Amino acid sequence: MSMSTSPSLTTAPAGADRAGTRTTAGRRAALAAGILVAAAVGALLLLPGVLAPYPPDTNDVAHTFAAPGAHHYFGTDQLGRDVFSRVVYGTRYSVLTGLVATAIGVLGGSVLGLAAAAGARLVDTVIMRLTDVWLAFPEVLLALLVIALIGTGPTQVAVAIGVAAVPYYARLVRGQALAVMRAEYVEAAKILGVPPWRYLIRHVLPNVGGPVVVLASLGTGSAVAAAAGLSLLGLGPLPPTPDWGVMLAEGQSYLANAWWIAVFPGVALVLVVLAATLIGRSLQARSVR
Amino acid sequence: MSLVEVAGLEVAFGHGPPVVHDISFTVEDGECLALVGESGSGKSVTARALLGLAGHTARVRADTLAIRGTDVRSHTERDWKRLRGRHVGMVLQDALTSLDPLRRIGDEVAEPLRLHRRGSRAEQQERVLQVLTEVGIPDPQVRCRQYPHQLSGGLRQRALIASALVAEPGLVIADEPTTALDVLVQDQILTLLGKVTAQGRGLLLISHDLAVVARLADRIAVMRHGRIVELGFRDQVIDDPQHDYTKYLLGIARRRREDRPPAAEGEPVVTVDRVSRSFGGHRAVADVSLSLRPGQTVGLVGESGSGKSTVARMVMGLTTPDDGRVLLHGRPWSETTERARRPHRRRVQLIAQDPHAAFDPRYTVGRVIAESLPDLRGQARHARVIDLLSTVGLDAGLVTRRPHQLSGGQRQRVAIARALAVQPEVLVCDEPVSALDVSVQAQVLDLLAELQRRLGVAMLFITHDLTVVAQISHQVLIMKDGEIVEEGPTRTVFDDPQHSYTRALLQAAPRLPEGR
Repeated sequence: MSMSTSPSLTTAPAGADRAGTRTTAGRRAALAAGILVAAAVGALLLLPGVLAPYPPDTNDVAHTFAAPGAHHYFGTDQLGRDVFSRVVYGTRYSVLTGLVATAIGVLGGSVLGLAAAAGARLVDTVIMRLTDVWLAFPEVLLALLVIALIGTGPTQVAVAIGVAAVPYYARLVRGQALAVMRAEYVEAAKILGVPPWRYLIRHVLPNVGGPVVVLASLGTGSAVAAAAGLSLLGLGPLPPTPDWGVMLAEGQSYLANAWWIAVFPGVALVLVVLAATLIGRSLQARSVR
Repeated sequence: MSLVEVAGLEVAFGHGPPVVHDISFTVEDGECLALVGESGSGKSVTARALLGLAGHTARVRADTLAIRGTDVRSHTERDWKRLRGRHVGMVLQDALTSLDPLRRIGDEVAEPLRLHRRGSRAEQQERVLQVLTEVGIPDPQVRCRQYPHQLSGGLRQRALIASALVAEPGLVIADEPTTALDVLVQDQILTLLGKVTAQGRGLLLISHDLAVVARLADRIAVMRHGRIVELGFRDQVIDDPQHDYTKYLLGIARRRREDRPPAAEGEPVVTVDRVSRSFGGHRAVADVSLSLRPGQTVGLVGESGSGKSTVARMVMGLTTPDDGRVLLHGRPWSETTERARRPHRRRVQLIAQDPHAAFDPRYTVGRVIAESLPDLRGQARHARVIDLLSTVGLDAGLVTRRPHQLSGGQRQRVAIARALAVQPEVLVCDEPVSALDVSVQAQVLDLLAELQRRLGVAMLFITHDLTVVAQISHQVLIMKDGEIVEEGPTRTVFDDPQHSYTRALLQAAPRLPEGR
């Protein structure tokens, strides 16, 4: 057949999904913003000395209640300490507490969830009824209960919040693991004679991972907020620790004439929670796709 | 004027090169044209282009693309909608996913009539019942009020054909209409499609299986790599093929069973002793016995739901029989604990229908196979993986690939390599080639037979496909409703079937007329 010069016709593209493209772009921007804040938080966490112009706990009675300005970006507090430097050093306490709490929740939840999914029916029933009771308590109340048992302090706050989060992760891991364990590739491992603990760790756990990462990302935000809340109540680190919750507590008495003492740690807290949520949401959107 | 006239059709996706080139054919009224080719040969793309369904990234170009004299090249989506259903009906492969699970069969079948506003509701209803009767659905009054999941696979496929026929289109396109069906049902559906052309409609039949199309087609177009390599009348193509590829396909389709010499009689590796198993009151397997000896292949044939996979799972030690027992080397296998079975699990390996699902999606090919080699480390392990890949005829370069990057045949070979890594004594193959193209089927079957000769493994080969079982088995068991209805050496069962069900199966199996 010869090459033809007759009109070559192209079928009309059926209305490309523009709305879809826009949401994808929006999601990308959200993820980028979240990652940016997370990176900044990481820098503050690791290198506070480089970024803070003053030590966090040096009193300067000559310059108390200085308004935000060129010398003190976020102003000074009732003892003349630089609020910016305290917010920077505070990252270490507040964010780290949130991360440790989430790690405790994920670890405990994964162990319980996998045990429930892989174990005998009795084990499953016991673990699940236990999480039911656990979930019946509001998270903060449960954390308070744990603190009442193990005492106050920064480590105790992390443990308390982590323990309160365990049942959420346990439920998620159990559900996912039950689905993955029915997959043929897990059966294939079983057929090869791989012992259960090994295929649980090699095949089930990693394939359960996705949704857990999403929940952990969202959970880190709320854990940081919860930690600040407990510090505010005086159950966490004690003054003069530059913890954001402690700073909020100190600043609230001066809110009328020196707003900056409480507002800046509050803004830092909001940014961190927001970043964690943005990252979590876009990871979630990705895993659904 | 031809019903369909296509000349110089070319379809490309996005900015890629064309996937079909220079396709030219016609379909006349009352004629069946078959497009035959393997997956990826472009047959479905060609059919979809005829309906304006190639997708929004597709660029369709043609010198002529006309349906009943109307040039459809510049058709807009609206024009296409007027054409679909009324002038061209389409039957797809999988009736379960092609029918809306939330709509009653009657509504689904009436859809084209409603879209094209043909007649009053009462007239539409009457036409639906008429067409359901026509396609051989019993009790159409009852069936049209049911949902797809309440119908068997064969009835669903009939309903789908009914929805394609309801608006009396001049052309019906059937894309692999029987590939998902058992032989007996396939036979009925092919008879039904034969009636379509007898009524004077044109039929464009698409299939990977020459034996299936040979029964209906007036003319056959063989496609490869997006081109039609041969087009001619059926008898001409089948008796006197011109193109090498056609000859190759015919050679595969005509493969006779090689009468495999019966394997040396040895002590059975696996003995299945009168096992039964029920699920929720339904008796899936009843009183089945068989034994597997080294170097011997036992074929287990049956339709879907006959219980053959349950037998496989009992041999694997994955399902416990309610009654009877399975022995491995004369020792209890089904009647023992998982802990006691585990050290012996490697002796019995499984090749599943869909190897894709049997690989951890995060693993590379190398890691999949290496998992079966826990005793080896580092360089030794890598060398053994490469060695196994070459045993199954795969290139060492594939170790870093992930399963989804492989073709179906390559994936099945990886699954075989993984099973061989643990040096099994028994291979249970559950429909291992059903998802593959015929030529790839042949290669995988050859590989399994060759490995058996070399390694002396016993095989339990489960399939619904008689042609496949004839090629590989020494012994055949025919299963129906959970029971073995006939058993014997392959040659005896095929040449002199005793049970009526075996005879029906053999009768229904699509067969090519003998070549000259």
